[in-house]
Amino acid sequence: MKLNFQIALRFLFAKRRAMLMSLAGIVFGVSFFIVTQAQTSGFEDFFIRTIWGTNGAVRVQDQFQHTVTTLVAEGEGDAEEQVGFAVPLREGRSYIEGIQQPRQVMEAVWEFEEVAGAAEVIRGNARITSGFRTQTTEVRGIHLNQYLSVSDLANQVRYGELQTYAEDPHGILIGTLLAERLAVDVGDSVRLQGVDEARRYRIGAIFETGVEEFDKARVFIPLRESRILLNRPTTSSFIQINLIDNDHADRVAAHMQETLNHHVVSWKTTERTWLEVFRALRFSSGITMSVIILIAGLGMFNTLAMIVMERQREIAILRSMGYSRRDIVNIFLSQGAIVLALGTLIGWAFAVLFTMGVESVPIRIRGIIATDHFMVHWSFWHYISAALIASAVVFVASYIPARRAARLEPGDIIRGTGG
Amino acid sequence: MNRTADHTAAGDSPAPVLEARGLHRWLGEAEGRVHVLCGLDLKLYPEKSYAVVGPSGCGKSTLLYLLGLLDRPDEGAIFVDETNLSAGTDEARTRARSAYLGFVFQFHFLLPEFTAAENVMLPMRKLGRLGDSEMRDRAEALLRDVGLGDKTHRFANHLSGGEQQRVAIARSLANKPRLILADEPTGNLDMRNSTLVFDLLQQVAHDKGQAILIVTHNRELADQCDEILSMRDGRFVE
Ligand SMILES: Nc1ncnc2c1ncn2[C@@H]1O[C@H](COP(=O)(O)OP(=O)(O)OP(=O)(O)O)[C@@H](O)[C@H]1O
Ligand SMILES: [Mg+2]
Repeated sequence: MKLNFQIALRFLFAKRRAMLMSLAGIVFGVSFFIVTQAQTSGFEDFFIRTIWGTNGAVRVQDQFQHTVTTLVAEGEGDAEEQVGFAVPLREGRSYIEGIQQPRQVMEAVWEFEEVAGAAEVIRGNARITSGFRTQTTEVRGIHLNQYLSVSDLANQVRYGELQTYAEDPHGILIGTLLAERLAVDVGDSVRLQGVDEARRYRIGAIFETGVEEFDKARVFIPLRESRILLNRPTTSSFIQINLIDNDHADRVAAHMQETLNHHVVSWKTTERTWLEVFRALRFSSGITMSVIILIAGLGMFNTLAMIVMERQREIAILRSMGYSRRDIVNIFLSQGAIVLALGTLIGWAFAVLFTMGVESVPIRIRGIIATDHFMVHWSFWHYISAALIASAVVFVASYIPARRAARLEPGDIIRGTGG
Repeated sequence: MNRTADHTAAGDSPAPVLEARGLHRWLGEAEGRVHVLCGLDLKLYPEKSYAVVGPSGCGKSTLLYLLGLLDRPDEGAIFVDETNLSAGTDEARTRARSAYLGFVFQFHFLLPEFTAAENVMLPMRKLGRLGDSEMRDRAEALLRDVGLGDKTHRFANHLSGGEQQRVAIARSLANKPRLILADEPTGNLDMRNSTLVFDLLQQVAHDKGQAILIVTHNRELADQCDEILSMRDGRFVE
C-alpha cells in the first residue's frame, strides 16, 4: 500500500496544475459548506435561545376534564338487586381556562426530574397610561425569582436594575419599544387600568427580548399585584417551565399532559413554523454547497481520467512487473484520497477562519431575534458532514477512472503504443 | 535441423521453465483480422539462452507478450510449473509475472518520475522478499552490471535512450526470474554496450540457472545463444 501510495504521489505531482484546480474546488466547497451551515444554524440557535429565554421550553396551561358520555342501562327487579352498568359512548375533553390550583400543579410539575425551573404566571390585558399616552398592554404577573429560573430576563434588562424592581412592591418592568412609545424612562410612574381596578407602578427596569411583539407590548408586575389588577384572586394563567435538556420538551410535555390533566405545550410545537423555516434554509444552503463539491468532483474525474489515458504505458509496465489490477485501482484511488485529504484539511482551516470572520460582520436584526452581528454556531458535525460529502464525491470521481485503468490489458496497451 | 524447441532437449533434461503448446493469435478486427501466430510449440529450459530471429512483422513481439503473460492466446496453452497460465486467473498470472518472469519491452519503458534505482526496485518492492537496504544494494549492483553505476539516482526521463534500455534490463533481472523475455534489448545500444548487456544476459543464464529468450536482429549475437528460433509469418522455420 505504501508503494502504491508513493506511485500515486509521483503521478499526481506530475499533473499538479490540473489537480490544483480540483483541490481548490474541494477546499472552496468544504469551507463554504461549513460556513453556511455555521451561519444558518447560528441564527437558528439564537432564535431558539431567545424563545427559551422568553417563553420557556414547556408551558402548562388550561386544565381539562375527561368527559365521558355514558349510557346507563338499568336492570330490572328489586332496588337492591338493580345492577347498573355504564357504557362509555364518546370520550372527549372539556377545558377550563387557566390553572385552578396553581400550588398543587406547581408541586406536581416539580415531581418531573427533567424540570430545571418552573414559574407561575398570570396573564391579562390592561391599558397603560403615562401622561397623555395610552396603550394596550399584556400584563404578566410573576414571582421574580421563579421567573428568572425559566427565562433569560436577567440578561434582557437594558436600562435600570432588576434589583430596583425587586425591592419595590409597586414596581413594573416594561419592554423597550413600549417605553419608547410611552416616552417613559426608568423611575417614571405609569398607570395600569385593569378589569375594574386602576393602579400606579414605578418603572424599575426596561427590558429587551429582541422579539418585537414582546418588547412593544409586555410588562411584568408582581404576581400578587396582578391578582388584584386582573381580578384573579386564586387562579393562574399558566406555568412556564425550563428543562434540564430543553430538546426533550416534546416528550416531557406529552408526559406532563397525561399526568397533570392540563393542556401542556412544548416550544417545538408553538414555534414549529419558524423552526421549519430555519431548517429549510439550512438544508438549501447545504445542497448548494454540496453542488459546488460535486462540480469539484467532476473536475477531478476529468483530471484522473486524463491521467489514466496518459499513463497507459506506465500501467502496462507496472502490470508486467507483477502489479495486480487491485494495485492499479489503489494507485488511482490514492490519488483521489490525497487530493481529498488535502482539500478537506485546508477546507477545514479556511472554514474556521471564515466562520470567525463572519461572526464579526456587523448586521442589525430586529424582529424575531435581536442581534448586532452575524450569528454562527460552531459544530463539529458541520466539519464531519462536509468531509463525508467530499469523500463520497471524490470516491466516485476516482473509482471510475481507477476501474478503467485496472481493466486495461497490458498486451493491448503495448501494441497500441507500438512495442 | 528442425528448430522447434521440442527437439533441443534430451529426454533426461530438467523440467522446462515454460512450455507453450499450439499458440494461435489473431489480431485486428473483422476484415483487418490477421493470423499473426499460427500454431507455435515451444519449451524453454533453465540455464539456456534462446534467440528469436525473423523479419519485421513476423510476430516476434506478439509471441513474447503471450509468453510474458501480458496477452492471452486465442488458441493453445502456456504452462509454467505445469499450470496452464494462459487460461489462469488474472491473479495467478500477475503472481507469476512478479515471481517468475522478467520482461524487457522493445521500446524500453521506465516510469519517468522515478530514478534509475527506484525503477529497478519497483518489482522487488512489489514482490517484497528483500528488506529496504538489500533492495537498494541489489538495484545498485544491477545498474553497475549494465554500466550505469554512476547514474543510479538520475531520473529516468533524464537518461538517454540506450541508458533507459539498460535500466530496463537491470529491472528485468531484479527478482531473479526463472525466465527473462527481452524484446530487442540491444536495439538502441552501441557495440560496446550491446556486448556488455548481452554478456550479462548470457552469464545470468549460464551461471545462475535462469533461462533467457531474446528477440534480436543481430545475427552475431543470435549465434552466441544456445539456440536460435527462426520465425517467418507466425511460424518457426529452419
Ligand atoms: N492491433 C493489430 N491489429 C492488426 N494487426 C496487428 C496489430 N498489432 C500488430 N499487428 C500485426 O501483427 C504482426 C506481428 O507484429 P509484431 O509486433 O509481433 O512483429 P515483430 O515481429 O515484433 O516486428 P518488429 O521486428 O518490427 O518488432 C505484424 O504484421 C503487425 O502488423
Ligand atoms: Mg517487435
